[in-house]
Amino acid sequence: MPQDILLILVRGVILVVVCLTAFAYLTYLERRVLSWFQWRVGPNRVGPWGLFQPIADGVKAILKQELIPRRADKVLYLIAPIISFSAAFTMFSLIPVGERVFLTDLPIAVLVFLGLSSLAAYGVILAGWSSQNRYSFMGALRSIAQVISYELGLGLALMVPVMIVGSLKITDIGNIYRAETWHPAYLFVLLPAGVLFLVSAMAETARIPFDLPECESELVTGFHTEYSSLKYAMFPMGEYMGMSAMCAIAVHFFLGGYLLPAIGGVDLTNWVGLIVGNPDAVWGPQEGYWTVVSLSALGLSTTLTFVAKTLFLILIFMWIRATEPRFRYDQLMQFGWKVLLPAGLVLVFLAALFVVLMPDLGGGAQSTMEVSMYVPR
Amino acid sequence: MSIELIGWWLMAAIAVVSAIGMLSARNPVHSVLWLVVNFTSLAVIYLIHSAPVLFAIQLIVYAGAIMVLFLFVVMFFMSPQARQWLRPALKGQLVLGGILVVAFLLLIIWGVGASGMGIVFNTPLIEGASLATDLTAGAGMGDPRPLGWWLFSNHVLPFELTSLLLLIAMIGALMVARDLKSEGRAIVPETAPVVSDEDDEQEVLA
Repeated sequence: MPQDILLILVRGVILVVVCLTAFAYLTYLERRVLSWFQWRVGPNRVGPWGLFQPIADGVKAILKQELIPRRADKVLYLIAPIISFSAAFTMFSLIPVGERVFLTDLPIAVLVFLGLSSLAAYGVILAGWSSQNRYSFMGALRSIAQVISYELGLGLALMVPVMIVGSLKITDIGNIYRAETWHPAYLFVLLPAGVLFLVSAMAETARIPFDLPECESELVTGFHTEYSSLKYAMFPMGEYMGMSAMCAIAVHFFLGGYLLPAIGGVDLTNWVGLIVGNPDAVWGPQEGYWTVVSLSALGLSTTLTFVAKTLFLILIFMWIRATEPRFRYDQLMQFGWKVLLPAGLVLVFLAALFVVLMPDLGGGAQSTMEVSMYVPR
Repeated sequence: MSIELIGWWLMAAIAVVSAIGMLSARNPVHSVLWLVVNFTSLAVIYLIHSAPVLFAIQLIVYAGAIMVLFLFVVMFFMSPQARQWLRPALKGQLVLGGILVVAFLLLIIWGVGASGMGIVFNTPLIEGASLATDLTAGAGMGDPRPLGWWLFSNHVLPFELTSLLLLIAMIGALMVARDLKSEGRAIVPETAPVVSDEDDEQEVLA
């Protein structure tokens, strides 16, 4: 037991360190990509190609004076950034990043993920309310309305692969993309669900076409107007981590997870496993050189694939940020309730039809068979 | 003492403290947040009792969706400066409430004692069950499928009736909130927010 706890702690620390570094360089990436899109230079002075810019920004954020509005609700004002920051990090801890490389792989991970994404909204809401500033308050109100509206689309989009696979475990859902279980017919339901998920995720994390809680042209900077120094920095941290977690989940659900691409019916993931050793023997009884090699090769290649796919989605998010103008508030609500929600319901209906009509595909059929064990007598 | 039991005691303490906090908070928004803490600790207690699905549902539905709606409504009317101490609306409300609380506590203690569930306090919660095995195996009470099966087979009528009830409540709320005169126009709030402008100006000058 103590070794287990130690192992979990070490993995957790690695996760936090990797995530913080990733956050720093995501801000750099975003600034470079945006400037590239907008035909300007971007940060290129600090270090080679401006690579030390995030470090300089971090130091600057730490050294700034901390201001707390005198009439703010101090306790909530201090707690709010912690909530949005830690919720986003916890979301990340649910996600496997490679074959057998994960912190947790809960059987109800999807539900916990949805729960955390709604808890993350408290950070933004409380920040806006406790600062005692009209602009912040407007930002908080918008944030609540937006989160309530788009959570529905998000949940419904995630339910489509869940229904097809018949499991709430993230690795189970990623496994549908293996060469043995994949069938092109899945595309008919998974592709629209993926688009729906990405749009809802963008709104849920308040990225630019949906960034009405911040909306610098109307609300100064919205809910975090009154924040300074590190407390301010925690909001972008939460935002970027939330965005990355959403992209990572999207990769698992709609882009084949950490699996390497299958070329000509040959699953490269299996191929890597076969070349360096039987992947099933990895956690097996034999503790040998090959186990380590196959573990590292398989884990490393899948992890890199996963990171590449996630980065690809993040780049799409940045691309959209660079090109799309912000929604108007009423458009936002109309779009959420009159387009995304009905679309999600239709998709869930289609997925149910799919599971019923094609019982041979995927785990949906399997789960109905297993469920018959619980038939009331 | 197993980890589960320690966690249970911790969560139970948090639940009680947050419930008291909810009642005694002087700002209604704080009350809402104490309630969120309470719901979250309850969710963790469900998890300890080998019911991860209930845990997740408690998080999503209660701590997430419902309390966000509460917060939405309460935030509209309360500024961070607002203070409302327990002000009994009825005469003798506090005394009566106190008596009821004591009676209810006695009832619970008696009920737990009579049902033989008092064992909970000195043995593992469920024989042979542990959080780790539940979470990794995903079977037993942690499996969402039996829940879905029962909900959509034996209990499908109450389930559908509940959704109908919610729909009716929603339509009712819409009818109440809808102002037929201003139909088609933007609704401009006539009343000022809680904090008056004068206070803000004074603060700027100060």
